[in-house]
Amino acid sequence: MELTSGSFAVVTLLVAVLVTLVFVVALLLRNTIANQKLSAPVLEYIETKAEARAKEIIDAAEAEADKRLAAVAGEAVEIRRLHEEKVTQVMEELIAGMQERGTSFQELAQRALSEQVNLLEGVTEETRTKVAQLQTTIAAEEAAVQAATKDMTASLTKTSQDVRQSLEHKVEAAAAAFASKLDSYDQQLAETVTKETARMLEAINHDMEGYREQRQAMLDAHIAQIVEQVTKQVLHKQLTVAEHAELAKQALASVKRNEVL
Amino acid sequence: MSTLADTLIATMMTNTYTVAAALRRVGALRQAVDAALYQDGGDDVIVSYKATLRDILDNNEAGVVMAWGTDWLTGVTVEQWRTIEHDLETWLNEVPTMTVYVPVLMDMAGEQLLGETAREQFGEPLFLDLQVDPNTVGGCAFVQNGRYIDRSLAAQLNEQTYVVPAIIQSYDR
Repeated sequence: MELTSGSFAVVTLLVAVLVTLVFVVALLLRNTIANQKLSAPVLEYIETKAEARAKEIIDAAEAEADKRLAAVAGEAVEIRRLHEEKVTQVMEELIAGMQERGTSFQELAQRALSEQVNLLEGVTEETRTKVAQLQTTIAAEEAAVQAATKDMTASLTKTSQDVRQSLEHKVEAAAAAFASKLDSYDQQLAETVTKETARMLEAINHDMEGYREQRQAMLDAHIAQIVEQVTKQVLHKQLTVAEHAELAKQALASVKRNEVL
Repeated sequence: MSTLADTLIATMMTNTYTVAAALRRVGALRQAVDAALYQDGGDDVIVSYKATLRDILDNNEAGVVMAWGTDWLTGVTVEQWRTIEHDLETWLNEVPTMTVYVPVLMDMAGEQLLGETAREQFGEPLFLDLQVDPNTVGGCAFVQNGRYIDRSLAAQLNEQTYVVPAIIQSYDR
């Protein structure tokens, strides 16, 4: 098929080229400026002759192309036929071969299967025997395990009883210790509370004493202030100027000279 | 200092004890002497001087200034007066002063009593600067040589403050 299409393409190309050449020649002839040198009738003659010649060339090219195409087509058909024959032959051979193989495969498979069956039967018998042995062994071991479990349970029960008793003893001892601790804590707490209370009372008394002294000092100052104010008022109202002068004179006279000078 | 000024000052110190009184009286004296010396007319200088003093001061004050005498003024010229006046001013600026705090305003007798006591106590001619401070209550406080000495009744009461409360507390017990 590839060969046929390739030949056809070549032929077609050849024809096209030929046609193109002819037309180009015709055009050149027509366009050659013979108008300036040749007269119109001469041109028409030349054109007529050129067209006739081009037609002849084209016809010949087409015939040749047809002939080539027919040849190529024939070759293609022949090639196709050969190819199909070959394919058929190969297929037949293949099928025959497969059939042979299939037969032999079947025989092989049957043979293998029978062998497998025999093997399996042998294995099965052996397995059966071994299974029976295993069952026997398992039964024996199960009995042993049960016996061991029974013993273990008994020992565990005894152990748990012992542990329980031990725990009970320990709990009792811990409770007793805790109770005694609580008693001692109560006693310590009472002592601490007593001490703390005494300390706080002492601090309060100290603060109260300080407060009392402070209040007393304030009271004393207040009293002194009141006495002074009363004295001022009394003296101002009752003493005369002359008495004041006398008091001032006494104050001046009370200072010793060396105390000042 | 001129002799007339010394005489006048010595007389002045016998009846003037405070700075305020001295300034007031010397001022009146200057005014009266100026009026007598610069008068137009024939009035006697002494008569004019006394008349001016009575116009400026009250009777008591005028009497005090007249007690300084008029002999120093007899025959005094203007130039001599200016000298006396200058000496008086200088003396007033230089005379020692003592500040005294008293509870009430003193009269002339009180001023005399305090002035004489101070001059006798401290042995120098000085003037008192009397300040009224009712807080002293009685007695006085004074400043001498930069020291404040409190001999007032208020100070004595403060020193004895504990006595009164102690008495009251003794009644409590």
